[in-house]
Amino acid sequence: MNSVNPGGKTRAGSVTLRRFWKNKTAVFGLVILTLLILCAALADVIAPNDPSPSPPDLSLALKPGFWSDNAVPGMPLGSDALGRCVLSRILYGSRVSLSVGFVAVGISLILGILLGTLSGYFGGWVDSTLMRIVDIMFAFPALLLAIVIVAVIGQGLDKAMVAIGIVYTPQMARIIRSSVLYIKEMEYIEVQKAVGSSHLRVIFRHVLPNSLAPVIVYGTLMLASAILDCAALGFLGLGAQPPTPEWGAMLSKSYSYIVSGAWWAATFPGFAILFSVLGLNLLGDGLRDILDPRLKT
Amino acid sequence: MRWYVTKRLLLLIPVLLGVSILSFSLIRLAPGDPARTIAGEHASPQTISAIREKYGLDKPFTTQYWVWLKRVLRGDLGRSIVSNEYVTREILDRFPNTMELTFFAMFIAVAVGAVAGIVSASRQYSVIDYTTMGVALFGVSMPVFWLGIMLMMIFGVFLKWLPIGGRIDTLIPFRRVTGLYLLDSLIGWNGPALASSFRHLIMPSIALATIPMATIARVTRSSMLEVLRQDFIRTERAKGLSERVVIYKHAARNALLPVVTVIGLEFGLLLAGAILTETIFAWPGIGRYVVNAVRMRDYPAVQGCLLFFALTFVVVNLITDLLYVLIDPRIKYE
Repeated sequence: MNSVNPGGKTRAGSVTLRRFWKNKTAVFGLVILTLLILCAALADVIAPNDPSPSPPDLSLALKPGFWSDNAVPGMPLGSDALGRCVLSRILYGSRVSLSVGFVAVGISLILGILLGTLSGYFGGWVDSTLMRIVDIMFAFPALLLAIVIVAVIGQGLDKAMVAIGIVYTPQMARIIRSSVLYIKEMEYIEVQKAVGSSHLRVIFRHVLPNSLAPVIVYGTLMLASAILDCAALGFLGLGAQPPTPEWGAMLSKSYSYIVSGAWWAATFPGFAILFSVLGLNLLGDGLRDILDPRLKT
Repeated sequence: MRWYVTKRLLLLIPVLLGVSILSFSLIRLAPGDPARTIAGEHASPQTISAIREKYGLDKPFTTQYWVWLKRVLRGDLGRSIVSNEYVTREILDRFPNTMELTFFAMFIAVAVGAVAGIVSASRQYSVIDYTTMGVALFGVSMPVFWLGIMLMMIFGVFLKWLPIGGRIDTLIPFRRVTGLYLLDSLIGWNGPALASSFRHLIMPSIALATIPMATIARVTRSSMLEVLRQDFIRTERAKGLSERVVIYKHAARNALLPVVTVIGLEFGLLLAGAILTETIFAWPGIGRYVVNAVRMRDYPAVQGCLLFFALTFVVVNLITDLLYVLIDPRIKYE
């Protein structure tokens, strides 16, 4: 009896895990993501200063960082135009970016699962109607659609999350639909139907768990784009509003001071965006190679 | 071929209809009275009621849509709340600027990206390969707006090699013909204008080109690697063709086919990127126009841009699909 199945699942799991640790890209991506999560979780502890003191201390405005003799002690990356510590704001900014990313991808996941399963599982006119709507949404560049949604529902971080979530839904719906289409034809699903399992049971117990791989892969890659798009909205002044320490907004508030020589406030937040997005892209690429070799480009 | 083109054009109709419904209803979803939304926050009650009358806003939704669609098909997108100019006019004025920027960026992206991909693949696992792909990985993760700022800081502010924004030096006499400044300078045989508009074009287009360049490099590399594994390449090498002929003449040609599709898709991202690049470099295109329209809650302008962007994107994708068929005779039109 023992040899039949126990641990079958764990064995498959440990194979995947072993392949993960062998994949340098994925591991490196995971390291960056872990660092990012640590920054977000421990911002209160590790940030040297209050990210947005009120009232701001303008006597500290635009002071350079550790590379200069003019530096303010305790502000290693210098200060912005309102005298706020750039490093602390970047650390707190990781909280904003991560939460926006996760919420936006979460929204697209919920809507995508709903639309994708309806489409793939039931097919017919439901499928063709939903997929035409998806086609139409693909006719707009994602950022433009997000901007317009923000224009309609209003500016702000919470609205930006919703906008990005909606914009990513068609992509998620397509991914889920195609894996549902693939799994639905499997014999064990036929068996489930034959023994009289309800549609809901078949979908939630059998179809969805088996479409997890592409969802994890594309979810990670979407998280990268969501962070990028959130920063873009913040940069355009349509996302996070002051004094929220958001990376994109930090850039847009600081880049006009470059002309007067204060380059640091507009430089470092960009590195934070670049490395977060890079880490998530690496992780996503690595996971794709590990979980689903068929998806490899 | 003619039948295929007709079919593709007919298939566009439902998509464009859907695009128009979406553009129409999005603006109607804005909270508050749509007449006030269209007229702007500070409009007088008379203006608002005139607009309600004109757009049939007291009528049912579907009637409103038809009224609106008929006007749009005649090219009337309404007037901007901010400038009171016709939105169509304002968009068409700025469109050539965006086109010049995006086409130039696409040119850089394809030229550099394809070459990098081909070279990488032909020297797989070499230092060049790892370096190129490392750079490409950074490229796809790059926040365009930040890259723009960094370029501006280094080449514009510190080194003072290039202008930090705008389209052309305003002191140079210049006659606008097509709106494509490089072309107009050539038409007018205007050397200083050509040099100035080219210098203004460099930084924004490099910033804009980065992401598609990186994507194209990655796609070209993997497609090239696939081609290089095929039998006909082995035959060519076996019969003694030089490596250069094998790679650049035979393999590259086949490898670039999937790249054409990517170019079409990347074009949409380029339009989105133009929104950011134009904002940073004060480039007077529709990307900057739509951002300002959103900030000012200029709904007719936002709606017009939405339609215009989608139309451009759909048309570009159609062209790429048709090109694909032309380039690869193995693909059947049916």
